[in-house]
Amino acid sequence: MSGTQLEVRDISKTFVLGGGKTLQAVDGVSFGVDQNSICVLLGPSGCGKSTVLRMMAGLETPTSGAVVIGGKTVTGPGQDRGMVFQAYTSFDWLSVRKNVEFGMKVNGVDAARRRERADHFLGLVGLIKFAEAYPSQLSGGMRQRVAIARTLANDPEVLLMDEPFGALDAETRWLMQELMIDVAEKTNTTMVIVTHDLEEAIFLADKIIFLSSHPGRLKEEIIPAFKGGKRIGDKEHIIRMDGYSELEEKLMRLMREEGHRRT
Amino acid sequence: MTNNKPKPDFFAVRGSVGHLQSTISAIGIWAVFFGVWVLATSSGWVNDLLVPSPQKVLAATYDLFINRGFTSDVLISIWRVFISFAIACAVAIPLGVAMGTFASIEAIFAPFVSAWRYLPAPSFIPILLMWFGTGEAPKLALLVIGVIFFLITLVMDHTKNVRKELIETALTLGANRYVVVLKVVFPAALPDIVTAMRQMLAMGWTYLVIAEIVASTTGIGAMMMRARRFLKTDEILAGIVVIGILGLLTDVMFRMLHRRLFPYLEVKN
Repeated sequence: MSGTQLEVRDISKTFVLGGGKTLQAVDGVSFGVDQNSICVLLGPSGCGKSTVLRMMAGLETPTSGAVVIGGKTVTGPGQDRGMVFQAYTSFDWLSVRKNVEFGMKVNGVDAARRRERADHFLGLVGLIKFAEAYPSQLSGGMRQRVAIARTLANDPEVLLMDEPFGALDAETRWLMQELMIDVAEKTNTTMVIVTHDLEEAIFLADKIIFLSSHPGRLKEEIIPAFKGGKRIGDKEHIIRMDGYSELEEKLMRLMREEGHRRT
Repeated sequence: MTNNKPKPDFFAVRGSVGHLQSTISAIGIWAVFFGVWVLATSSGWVNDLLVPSPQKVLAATYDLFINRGFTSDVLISIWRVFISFAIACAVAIPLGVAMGTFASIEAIFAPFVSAWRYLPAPSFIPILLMWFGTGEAPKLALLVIGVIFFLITLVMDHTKNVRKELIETALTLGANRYVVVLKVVFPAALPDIVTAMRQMLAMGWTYLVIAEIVASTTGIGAMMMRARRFLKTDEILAGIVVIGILGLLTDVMFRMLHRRLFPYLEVKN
């Protein structure tokens, strides 16, 4: 890990609602994401973490502040920031392989290279056998793996994920989390992942950005030091490590404080 | 010995129906229909002149096709529906997709289109006749007017139903707006658009018959009006039967097309 790749500089977002009302979702959030690191945005519902991620993707414009990637200010969505959503986003009319090739085709990668990269990333997420299938033939977890392969194959500098495993059952979610550690190790992709799942946050994060709610403000930056700067690819292992339960307790306390503050 | 097989329940709420039962049911309802018809005509309950027997209608249909050149009437009717429906689709599909994608385009056309939808197309017949005379143009115009505004609205609604996440995914993969519209929004909405076309084609047939009855010397509707003048009820009913069969055939064709175009909708794990 070396150098800051992506910087969120004092961003705020105020939504204009009907009837002249406004809602401030995010208030002056700043943080940096190191190259090749996994950064997790964590917080209770309504903390604006998805809004922060969407501003990083360029799908929302900050009311003030800026998102800077590689020295350039983000002005809209682009190939350098791939995004995986919670809802299924497979293009149902295309085969799994064509789905994974979609971004590359849009960006003018030639057919042979497209095919090669698509198959490489389908292999990485364990779906090479299903390359010719339609997404509607796949399970929910498999569809999310297609979405991840599609985004990675497009060679983004940063992979943004908005509660990517939120719709999956517990067992599949667990496997997907382990897959993400594996993918991060093999591809050196910088990732920013939004979640409200404490376990998921501790397991995946090199750094946790904890946001408070209404409006979303940076509450605390937490480095899970107990991992000793390494990634642990095995969930059964990590929960037995010294320092795991302390961190989980701490995050739970932060969550609870936010909950009380709201009611 | 106990019988564990569940007792079939005819009125099971949201129950399922086997292949055999559905076949028997479908044939049964038609058998009852024709049975009542045959009975009514053969027993003299109804005036034979006003309600001819099914056999007579069948014979009239045969006679029309073989000896009276009805085939050309049928072909010209099919041609009218096909041409006018093609014109309507050529305008309605691009416009509907554009309206469903760009709020600015919708703001321009939606107030216009919704107003036209509430005007019954046949109310234009007198003015269409004055503008275009009695050639093909007024018939085609009526069919286009009758179909196009509904089709635009349906296509727009189906386009709007394309999930935002699909569009945003394409944008974050680096697609520009043209790619988003042509490669994501349109293919995503297409199955619903084809279904809308199927529904509107049925409406096209309706307006065709109106146009041919009111102002035509050719086509199925015109044949039926001629038959009325000579009290040929069997030929009028033959016309209705032929229109029904043509409608059914186009519907089946559209279903087949749908299955052909969208194989991914058929597959399930």
